Amino acid sequence: MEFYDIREIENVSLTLILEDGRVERPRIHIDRSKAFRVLKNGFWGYFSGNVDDSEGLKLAAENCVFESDSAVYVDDADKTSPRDYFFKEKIKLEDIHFEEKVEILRDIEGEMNADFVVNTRVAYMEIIRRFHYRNSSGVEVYYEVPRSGVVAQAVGKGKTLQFYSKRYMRAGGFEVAKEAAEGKKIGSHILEVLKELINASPPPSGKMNVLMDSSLGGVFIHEAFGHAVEADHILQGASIVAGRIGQKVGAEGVNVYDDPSIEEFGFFPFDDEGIQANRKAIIENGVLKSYLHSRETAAKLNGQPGNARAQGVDVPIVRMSNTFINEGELSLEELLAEMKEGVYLIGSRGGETNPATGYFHFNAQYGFMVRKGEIQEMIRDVSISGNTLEILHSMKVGRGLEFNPGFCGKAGQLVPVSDGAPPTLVKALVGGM
Amino acid sequence: MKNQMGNQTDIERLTSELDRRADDWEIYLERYSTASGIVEKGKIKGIKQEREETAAIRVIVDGKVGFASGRTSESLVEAAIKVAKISEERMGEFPSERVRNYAEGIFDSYLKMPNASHVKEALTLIINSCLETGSNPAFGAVELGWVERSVVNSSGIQVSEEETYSSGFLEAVYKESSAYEMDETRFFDTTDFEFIGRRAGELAKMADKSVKPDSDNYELVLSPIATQQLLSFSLYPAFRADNVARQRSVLAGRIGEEMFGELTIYDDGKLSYGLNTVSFDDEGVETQTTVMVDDGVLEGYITDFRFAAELGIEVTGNGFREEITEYPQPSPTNVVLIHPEVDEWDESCLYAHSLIGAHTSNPISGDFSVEINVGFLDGRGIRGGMIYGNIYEFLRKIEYIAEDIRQIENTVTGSVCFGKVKIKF
Repeated sequence: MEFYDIREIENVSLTLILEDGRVERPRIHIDRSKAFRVLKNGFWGYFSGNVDDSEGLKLAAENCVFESDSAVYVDDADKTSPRDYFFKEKIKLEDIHFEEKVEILRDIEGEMNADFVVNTRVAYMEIIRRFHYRNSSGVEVYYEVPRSGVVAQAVGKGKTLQFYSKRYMRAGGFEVAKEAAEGKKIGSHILEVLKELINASPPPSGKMNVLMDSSLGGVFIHEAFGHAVEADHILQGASIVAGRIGQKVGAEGVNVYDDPSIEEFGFFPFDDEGIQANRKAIIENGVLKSYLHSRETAAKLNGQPGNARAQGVDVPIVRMSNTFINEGELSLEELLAEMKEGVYLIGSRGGETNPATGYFHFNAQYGFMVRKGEIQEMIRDVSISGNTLEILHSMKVGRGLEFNPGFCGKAGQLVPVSDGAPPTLVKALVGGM
Repeated sequence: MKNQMGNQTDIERLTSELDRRADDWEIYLERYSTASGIVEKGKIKGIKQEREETAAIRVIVDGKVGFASGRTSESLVEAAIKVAKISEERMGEFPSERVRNYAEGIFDSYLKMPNASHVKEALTLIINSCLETGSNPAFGAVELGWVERSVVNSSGIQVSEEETYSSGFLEAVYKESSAYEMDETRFFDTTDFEFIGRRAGELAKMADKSVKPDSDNYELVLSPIATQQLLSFSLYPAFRADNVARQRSVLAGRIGEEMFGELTIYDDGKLSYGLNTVSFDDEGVETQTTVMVDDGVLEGYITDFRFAAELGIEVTGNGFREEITEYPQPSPTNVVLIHPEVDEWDESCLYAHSLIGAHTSNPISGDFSVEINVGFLDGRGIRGGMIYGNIYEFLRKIEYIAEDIRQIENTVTGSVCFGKVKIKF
């Protein structure tokens, strides 16, 4: 046996949903499980289940039925263990009664009342993750991190039936939900947008200037570029940036990082292979600096590990954490003046990309027409697509970095992440009805 | 086999605690055993086995519903009762109707204990058949599984069923292009692993040297994969009774209206050998055939137990849990698409094999815009291509459905020809 590791994971979560003003589907989930991984003859064997350590390692080793060329990064520097980390939240989740959590939802929901609103839904979520990792080279780490926050949505009826939602979640205690309700006033914000959105016009179509707000820009950098720098895609030969380290992949002002140490939704103190979280420069001054690595891809491509994550006891794979385009120089006004004609797109309903070809497709939550450098009427159901590298080469970067939380799916596993960007100006294909 | 409960001791322990502490209750138990493996650049990288047993408890206390899920050894009853105290989810009872007919073709005894050698065999077939096409088997996976679901409740329901599945997937890369293919069935022997590798490899190769046609109106054909991608996000949510009840569906209040051209759509929970075929849903309600659209006319919705009561309609056996952590919600099983015109598509059509971005559709209005992931025109690969519109207008444009019928996830269909459709490049 060349290497083994054991992960023990405990997740305790609470979800409360206020649907049309009623607490619906409240639920608790308590999950405790173990995952075993063995590397033998260059081949990985895995087992997960509720068994003791020797049995788990034996069952994992039985799956090493081949010889292959898998490898694992092991460094003496990461053996200073055991290492513990306990997140210091302001308000402990367990100190707050369920009733008080529901009150937050009622406050937000109370701001979304209007005759054009046909449905509201406000969800509170909290999850505490306790993670214990040990491996055959002597590394041992343990951490506890809470995450919490609120997702609110309203459906409105005007010329068309439309929905608009907002998420406010990050690593932290009950203070996160309080901020969403009190500081951010997400309920009032949703109502304000929805009022206009239900009577908004369909968008124009064709190739044009697109000003992306921080939320859409964040999704772009995560989906269209971030996945392509995950080193497992590089090893598979399925990435547009394979073999391009040191090459220009974006405009001069484009700087992109992945940083799990920021206390946003993608925060973690150690990755799921026991590596201390650290910031990675992906693009600096338009030049590709590095890929994101697990212990395995780091060993094969001579990189730095620290981005291996798993959903529960699933197999750790290369993932992003908090991924962002760092802010540049231009103000929103300067970007608008620069673009003159085009569309200003806000928020994201998600997107998808093919890292092998670089083609991507996202839908914005809404947008505005821009004429003569001025923001004009609202547009709805608008999408943007194009080729990642073409977009990055034409990108102009504004000021004011903001992060947006979400769950990222890859190989059937969901992990919490956040994406960040300032407003950015690009040229892309816009479509809609 | 079918009426014998999965884990008798867990159920007895939970039942006695629930009888004492809740007015009504439901235990949903899931035991599973899976074996899976992945391929990276033509090599099998690792094999994984998982064995797990989880439960979800629903209680009704003073008319209020609470829920907790996790390992059966956790204090789930305690948690469910605690959460019921602040709940405003109301239910009078749990389902009590007995299951009469059982589903066929969902259990392969060969997969009861899926192991590494099955996975190795399947992955080897995928890799070799792809390599023969000259493409790189870049990323692929095989998953074999056995699942046993059990539902027991205070209304006297006590059912249990075993099912198996066998699935494979491969993304092949050829030079700058890539394409994927998949297959899933209930039996190991009927899953065509060789087809997955060969077809993915061929598609990737065909997509090489792709061209960018002009934006124009094209005779558009969506493969079963592309059809599933589009409909599952833009159309199926509108048939859900919870969305109908909450005004989140444009189909609310429109039963009897002709909205779908000549299309017929039904949900068949007992389809023989269907990928989502089961005898009962996750609430213990027997599955059935539910006609949603008959010759273009909206006929009905799919529902779970709770929303059947709220809308005053019959239960349809569509209460499924997306995850063990979730309440049952209306969810399709095997959705079958039927059109009176059957024809074969030819190379002059613009053929979309797969799409990207379908999940960004507006499930409420049915507006969508998607990008073609892999597509062909006159036998040549095309680069990109945006298809957009409203799904209800789109479905009225269907000219025929081809006979190349496959089940992809919850959709059973042949390739669908939509006639002239505007596509932007």
